[in-house]
Amino acid sequence: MLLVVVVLHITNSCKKDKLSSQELPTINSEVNLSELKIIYSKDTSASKIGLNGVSETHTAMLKNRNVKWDKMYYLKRDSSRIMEFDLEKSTDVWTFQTNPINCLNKNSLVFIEFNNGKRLNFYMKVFENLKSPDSSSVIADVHYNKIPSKFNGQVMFYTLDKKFINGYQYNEGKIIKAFSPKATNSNNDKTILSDEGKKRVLLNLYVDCAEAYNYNYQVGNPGSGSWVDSGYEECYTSYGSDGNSGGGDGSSSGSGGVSGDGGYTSGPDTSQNGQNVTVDPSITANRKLNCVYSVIEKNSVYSALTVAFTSSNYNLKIVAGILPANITGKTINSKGYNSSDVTIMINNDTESYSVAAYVQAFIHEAYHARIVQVLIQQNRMGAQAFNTTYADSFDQYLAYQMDSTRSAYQARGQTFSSNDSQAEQHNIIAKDTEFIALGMKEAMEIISPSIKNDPYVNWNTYLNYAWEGLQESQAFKDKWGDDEKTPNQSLHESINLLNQYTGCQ
Amino acid sequence: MKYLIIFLIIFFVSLDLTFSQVTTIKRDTLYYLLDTAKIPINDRIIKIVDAQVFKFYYFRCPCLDEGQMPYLIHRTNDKGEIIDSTKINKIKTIATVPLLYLFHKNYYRFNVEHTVYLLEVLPDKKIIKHLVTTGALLMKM
Repeated sequence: MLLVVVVLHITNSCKKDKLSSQELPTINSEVNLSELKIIYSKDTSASKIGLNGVSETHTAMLKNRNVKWDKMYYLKRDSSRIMEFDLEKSTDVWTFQTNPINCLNKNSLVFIEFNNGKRLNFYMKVFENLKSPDSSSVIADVHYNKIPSKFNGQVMFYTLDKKFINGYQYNEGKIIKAFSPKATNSNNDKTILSDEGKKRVLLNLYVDCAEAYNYNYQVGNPGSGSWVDSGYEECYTSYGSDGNSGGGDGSSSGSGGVSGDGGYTSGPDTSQNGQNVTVDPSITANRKLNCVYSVIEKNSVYSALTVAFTSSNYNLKIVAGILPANITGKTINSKGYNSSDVTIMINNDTESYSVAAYVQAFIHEAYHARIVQVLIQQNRMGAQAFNTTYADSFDQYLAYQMDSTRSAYQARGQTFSSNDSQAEQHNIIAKDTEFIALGMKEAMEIISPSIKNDPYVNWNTYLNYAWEGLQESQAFKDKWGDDEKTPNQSLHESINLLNQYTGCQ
Repeated sequence: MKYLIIFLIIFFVSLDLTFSQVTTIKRDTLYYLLDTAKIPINDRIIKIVDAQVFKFYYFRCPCLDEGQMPYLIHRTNDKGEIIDSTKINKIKTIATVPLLYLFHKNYYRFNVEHTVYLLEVLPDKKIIKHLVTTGALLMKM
């Protein structure tokens, strides 16, 4: 009899523990799901966070924010309770400091409800770094305030309008570094990893350091499956490792919490201006351009580039108009330097140019606008910045990046030799053209799906095409030869090959 | 009834003509005869490059924007059509200079306004006919 009582007591204790932290297939009676849905809908409404809720200070790493409401992780604590839901999987995979093929992501929505009625609602993004692609993953078991002992990677927190709050890096389930947002004017790398089925391409874009994390990364070539080390060290300084970012929630688990949990009770700041990219009717009324743009505006590269124009300081307008026959697109500062209103004009003679030409023009012009914006911010160009050709600004941008790299070498007490310079320059150029190529590939495979089956269209085809518009730059001459009049078959083959694909007619 | 039928016929014919006027782009068909065998290699205005995907016919004339050369292309896997060499004289072909003039006039709309057949004389005197298009130039941005 005594044995039965002891067994019952143990069983009951285990049940209690389990109830305090569990995954439920649906929703238990303690949780009002409808209320959570209303809160989420209200906090992510367009009026609160703008059209897409992105800007220079808003992460681009939370693209798909649809919530899977059918499954919840629930944790009850002394002073609060946590309700966590996964977001639907995004097509993008992001990574820090790891070989991309070893990286997994998970995005979650977390509600913390405090006993005093206050709430803290935010996103949690998990980056798991596997030791090898075959290593077993524990990402599914990573939850707010519950980090498995075998977890290696990062957990980052964002407000519902996608602003970075804080984050942690873990090694075997233990915090080894804390991240905080740092306001800085220096440029930073943001890595973008596109998941092309099983082939992944990691590319890089300069953005302001608001997201404040960057690391070495690898550039992959889907054609060869090889990976090339790359990276920018000047952005290491953007890390906050002093743990003064709020960090832990005071719980004994030491698993790291969102800044504000356990003390911070105000909701996310949603006062940021929303996206301010406008598309002129001259685009939407044109069947071909409208069709191409409808794909482009969802393009991961284009989105990343135009994020820079979603703050209150810069506005971007996309229009179609008459341009000289040899120009498919042009970026201009429509009202002068001070207003910083930028216009991308696309050639409206749609009979003469291919879909690929327009795809490239949209991405190229967004890139042009972005890099010139960076140069203006860094005082590398004057008021004429937006009236320069793409080639001019690309060379200026390259010079700026080289100076930054040189400074990073010097800061480490290293000599920046001519060989280093050449290698770094090669990396920078390759990285930037790869970025454009990635955007082109993504868009072309949506507009003309059969292109994926073309045995002649490969990663190099897009890489080559990405050089168009740069023919007057020194970088182009270094790559393709000094005489632009000399026919170059691999370049011409790539351009003509992609131009033959139709769609959006 | 008779008048109604006549009216409907006239109506639909005119409707068809109206649509035809709207949708049909006037395209000129051009034939260009390429017989390189008669010209020493260094004197040839056309440089032929057989690449992986396309066969390129470059006109050695830096007469387009930024000194770029016009060129015609067709897919290498397009075997073309052998034509009877005795009929070649019956085909009205365009000479090189007028063709270059057309290129220069508006190279970017050339494929919209023209259909071009290249008649290439092979070393064995056979003539092969290929539908070609102008190749893309490097655009400015």
